[in-house]
Amino acid sequence: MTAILEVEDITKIFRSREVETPVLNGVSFKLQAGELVALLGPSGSGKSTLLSIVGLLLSATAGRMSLLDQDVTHLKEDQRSQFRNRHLGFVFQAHHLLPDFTARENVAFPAAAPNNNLSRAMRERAGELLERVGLADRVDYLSTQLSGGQKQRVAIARALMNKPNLVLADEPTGNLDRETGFQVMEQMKIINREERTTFLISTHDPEIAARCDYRIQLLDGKIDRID
Amino acid sequence: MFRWQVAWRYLTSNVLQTALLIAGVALGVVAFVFITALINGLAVTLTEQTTGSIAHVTVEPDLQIAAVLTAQDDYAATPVSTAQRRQIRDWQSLVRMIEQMPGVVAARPEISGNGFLVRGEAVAPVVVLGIEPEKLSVVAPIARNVVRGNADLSAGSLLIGSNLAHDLGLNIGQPVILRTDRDRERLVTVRGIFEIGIASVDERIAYLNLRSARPLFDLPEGVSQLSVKLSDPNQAPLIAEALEAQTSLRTRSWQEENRNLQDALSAQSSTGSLIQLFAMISIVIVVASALLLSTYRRRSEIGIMRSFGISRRFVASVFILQGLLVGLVGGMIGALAGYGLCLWLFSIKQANGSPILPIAPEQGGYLLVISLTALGAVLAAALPARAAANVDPLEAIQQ
Ligand SMILES: Nc1ncnc2c1ncn2[C@@H]1O[C@H](COP(=O)(O)OP(=O)(O)O)[C@@H](O)[C@H]1O
Ligand SMILES: [Mg+2]
Repeated sequence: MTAILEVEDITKIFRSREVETPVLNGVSFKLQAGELVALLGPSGSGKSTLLSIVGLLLSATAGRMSLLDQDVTHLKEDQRSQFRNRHLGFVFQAHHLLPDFTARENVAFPAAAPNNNLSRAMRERAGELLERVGLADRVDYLSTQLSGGQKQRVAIARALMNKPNLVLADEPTGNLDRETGFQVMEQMKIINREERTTFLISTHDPEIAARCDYRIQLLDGKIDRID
Repeated sequence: MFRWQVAWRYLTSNVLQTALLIAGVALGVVAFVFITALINGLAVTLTEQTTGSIAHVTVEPDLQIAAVLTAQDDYAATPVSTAQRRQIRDWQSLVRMIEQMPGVVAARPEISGNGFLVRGEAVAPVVVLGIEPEKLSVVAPIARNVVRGNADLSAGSLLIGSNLAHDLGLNIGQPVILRTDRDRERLVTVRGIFEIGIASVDERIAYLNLRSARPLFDLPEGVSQLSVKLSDPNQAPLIAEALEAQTSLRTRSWQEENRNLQDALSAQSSTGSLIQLFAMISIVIVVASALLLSTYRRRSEIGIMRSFGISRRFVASVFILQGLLVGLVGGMIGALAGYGLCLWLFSIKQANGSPILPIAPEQGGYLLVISLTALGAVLAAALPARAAANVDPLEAIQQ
């Protein structure tokens, strides 16, 4: 197995004018291709911060990181943006769909924008992804016409559009009721099985975490244990 | 292509707001079109008014100086004028030649000079124009504007303006003495009184038959000048130059004689440019503020796009294209509305049949204003586009 993600001794300190907030303090771990991993920890333990750093949305204060065997520690913003588009998928706590676009257009967006063209093939793939997350009958609905769980499933489909190697999900079930939350989790699990897409999912819900291959426990800016 | 779709979707997502924005742009364009059509129309009208009753090109003899014989005996010197009488001798062939030039409507030979009309105790200075009767109305529309009597220029008859007639208390059929600056005089009869509405003509000019004018100005064969009328007054300087080159006579275009009109026209056109500039600035401000507002409203959406790796270029171009679309649509609607407004204003006529505003609806600078508006709107979109491109993806996600 090859490591898809290697995090080495990552430190993050937020600095404002007067205060320094140390959030991560020497975090190291590896993800192998095809794993479904939970990132656990109480609120404020730095889960979102760590996912942002792994997702190339935020720079670490110190430490090294490589994604797909490429050192990404010092990439420039446009390279990071391109890397995110080609290799990473994001699902956030809030769905963050584009309200003026249909479910299908939202899903196809990450492929259409870089090519400046929404091709027939992209529309078809977007439709298939929506079908996979159980939204075959909502493909051409505007995102504002969907329920919370449906929106989150559209967001998952969107994260998968460009066939990412790694999907980062930050409390994807946080805004959903338990039942819907489990359904969304189940969908990610199926995709993980069928496509061997790697998932790193932050949550503070032990039941969600229990459905993952293993769990990384974050506490006080450090990895407490991995089990 | 996808950029255009996104830009279009953004604009159509809030129809009312976009309609207001486009209306704001169109209003600026209407102002631009109106002022452009008005300034151009004013220029055309003023030029027409000015050139309608004057010669477009005047041809005059050059001042000829005869060689001076040096007197052998200083004391025998007598005051001999070395200047010859200024006249055009071979005017018949010259008139024929000029009238064959392209762009020339007619050329009128004239004997012109100063004189006085004397009636009892009343004396009034006049400019006497001796002309061929059939060319009476070549320069100014005299025949059409005879208010009393008729346009009769037979030998011994006189046509004068209404103001002059009033000053001297003259009426049709009355005799009056015409005394010229060559110290000749003769009794003439007023046959017609005209009123063309230009004070300098109505109160100073007296028309006489060319033949009656000859003895009064000591010109048995020549004429003192030719007045040339053109189909396009703007060609006057060119034709004047061509004539001067061909004939070695002195020519003057109407523009040379009316420098103040040229000055007034250029002052008007700078005023117009200033208003056009303000219209453009207001368009730019309207577009920039609307799009800037839209980037703030869409901050989190933009952030999310950036998070899944949509480039800054793409985000910026979506806003630039919105500016371009608003500019083009607003520009075209405004140009159309402006044209309609100008046509309507043009159709409102005064009692005398001329429009209340001297507006030229076909000269509203339509292509110019549409291109300028599109360009201005794109420039106006630059700032919002920059703001959008620089949205930090994390900011959106953390909300
Ligand atoms: N931009 C920031 N500036 C300062 N402190 C921050 C910033 N973002 C997060 N933090 C702090 O970092 C800590 C961890 O936050 P976060 O990663 O969101 O935790 P979690 O997702 O586990 O709840 C919190 O104490 C939070 O206040
Ligand atoms: Mg969090």
